[in-house]
Amino acid sequence: MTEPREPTPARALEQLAALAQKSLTGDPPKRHAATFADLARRAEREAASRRKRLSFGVAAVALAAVVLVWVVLRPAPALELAVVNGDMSRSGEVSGSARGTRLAFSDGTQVALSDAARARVGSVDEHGAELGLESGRVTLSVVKRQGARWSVTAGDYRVSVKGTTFSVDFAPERGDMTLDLLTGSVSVSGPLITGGLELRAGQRVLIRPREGLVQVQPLEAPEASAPVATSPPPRVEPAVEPPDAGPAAEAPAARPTTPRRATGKRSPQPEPWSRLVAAGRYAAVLEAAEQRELGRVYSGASAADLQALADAARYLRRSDVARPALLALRERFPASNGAREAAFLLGRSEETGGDAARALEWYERYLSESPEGPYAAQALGRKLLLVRERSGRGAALSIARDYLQRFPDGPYAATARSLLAER
Amino acid sequence: MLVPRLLGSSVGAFLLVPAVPVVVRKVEPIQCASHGATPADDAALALALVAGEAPAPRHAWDRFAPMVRRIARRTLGPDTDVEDIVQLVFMKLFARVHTLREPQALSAFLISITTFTLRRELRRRKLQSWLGLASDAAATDLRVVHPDPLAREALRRFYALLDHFGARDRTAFVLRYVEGLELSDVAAALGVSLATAKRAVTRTQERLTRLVERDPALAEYLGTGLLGRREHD
Repeated sequence: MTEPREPTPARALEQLAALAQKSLTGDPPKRHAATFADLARRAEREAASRRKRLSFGVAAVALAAVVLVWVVLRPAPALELAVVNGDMSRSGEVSGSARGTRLAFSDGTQVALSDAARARVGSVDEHGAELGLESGRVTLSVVKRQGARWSVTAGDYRVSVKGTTFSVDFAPERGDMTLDLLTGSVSVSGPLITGGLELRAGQRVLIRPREGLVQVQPLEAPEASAPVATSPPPRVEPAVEPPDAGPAAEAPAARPTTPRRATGKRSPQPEPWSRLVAAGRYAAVLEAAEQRELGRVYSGASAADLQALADAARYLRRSDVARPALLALRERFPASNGAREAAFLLGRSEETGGDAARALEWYERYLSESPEGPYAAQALGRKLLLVRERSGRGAALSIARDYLQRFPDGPYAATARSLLAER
Repeated sequence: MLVPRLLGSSVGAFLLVPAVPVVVRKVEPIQCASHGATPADDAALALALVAGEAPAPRHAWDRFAPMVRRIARRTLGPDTDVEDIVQLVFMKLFARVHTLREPQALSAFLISITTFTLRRELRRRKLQSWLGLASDAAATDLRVVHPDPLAREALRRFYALLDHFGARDRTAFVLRYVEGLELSDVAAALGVSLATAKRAVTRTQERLTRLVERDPALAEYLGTGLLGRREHD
């Protein structure tokens, strides 16, 4: 069987790989770089330590242990897979059909695909398999055995399974996922879920990323309707039932309440917002700010918190929160680096919102306050494009020359050269 | 003397290395990027190491430490101090260089050792994370890595997405697309067949693309936005 050709990576991946190449080099760090002398000292220490061990005959015992471990851990053959009422492509893709397509594994595990469901079989080994659910519903009946390890990935969510029967429904256009757990237990991880969500038999979890909703309810309860979104702040979210509530408990429908995040454990100590942003948990920052009341945050939060809130709001396209946070940063901490950088980010916000004139004002303000700042190349480049768009090529020529003089290798250098070369 | 002690430790030396044997496959030696060395230079250095020549370990360090450090950083990400891992890789190299069948493949041999070491480190970090243990990695001042704040954030988010992948898939992807190795060299480094390496790279690439497209911070940096529009040009 010939292998499919290696696909060309998407442009986004190429850009990110190029960024990693450029940023992560082999140059030694400025502080605490390992030297050959360090290596030599370490080797001496470890050699001395080894001699000491050998003198007690540990080497022979350890060698025997290594052999034993190898015997115990040597890989068993992978599970075998048969496709019933369907076909699987070379890349592992399989689609459901009206005939009832299912995957039958040699350990007895069965995966049933609903009509028109699309899934992909990833890796298969002696412990289980990784399945990717592209769309539709799959129902898994996983045989419980020692060392079993199965997972289903739906969008950004991952369901880890040991021995259970459950179904997963995934709508890729919205990223919505619904999981019904019939028997056993599973763990769900992904965005909006802190520390993993453990589900028990008889429970359903609804995940609606666009509404920020993660709701656990009994299987018998009707699906919750989408929460009513009010004009911010605050957002209305349905109450979340703790995962250890029994099936007899009735989950409430959507109603205004203190928003809570679904967790499998008690709420941890609040993390600094900057750390949440670094971890990509933007919605958590926004939620925390709204709980504190945004007006109070703008007038009383630290510079670091305002920066983190502005970043999180920008990534979530909440310019209604990002702009006041950035303005507060500039007003309350005018001498800070964050305040200067806020000028550029306000320019980006205005430009995204369609107000080119205000965007230009902010870019020019940033360039006058921070001519050598980290965003200078970006600000001047954006200014170049906006002036060209609003006032024509002639008005942008001097900016293009200025750009090439200051940033000959900058991200907009090609644009500037192209503009100057036009006739 | 450093080398005789390292190579003369007999059984004890091998207890420090992973149980998985490192096999140097019959592939073309990789052109070493450090100092423009050629495979012939690598062969001479390998023979010198095996022979226990005193300057050889130092030469090996000078020639290959940047490469090992680079691969380690690109695999583990910008927030990790890799100096300890670099030392560990060289310890293993000196202990096992006498097993190298093709002296001119010294660079590939070292990349293989580096890859196995990094995969163990990734698994160790994942286990720490599952056990809820705090990371012991020193935080790096990312301003040193890249002066542009948007780029720094994009880099951090990119590596946070790579944390979604298993050690082998992540390493395969990094070696192929960040380090720029040919697939055959990626397979040799991982100790797998070419087909397996290709599947690992393809699988990771496809899933990573989907994750990148959905990440709002990366969308902002890449200038595509959630609707796929480009902001300039």
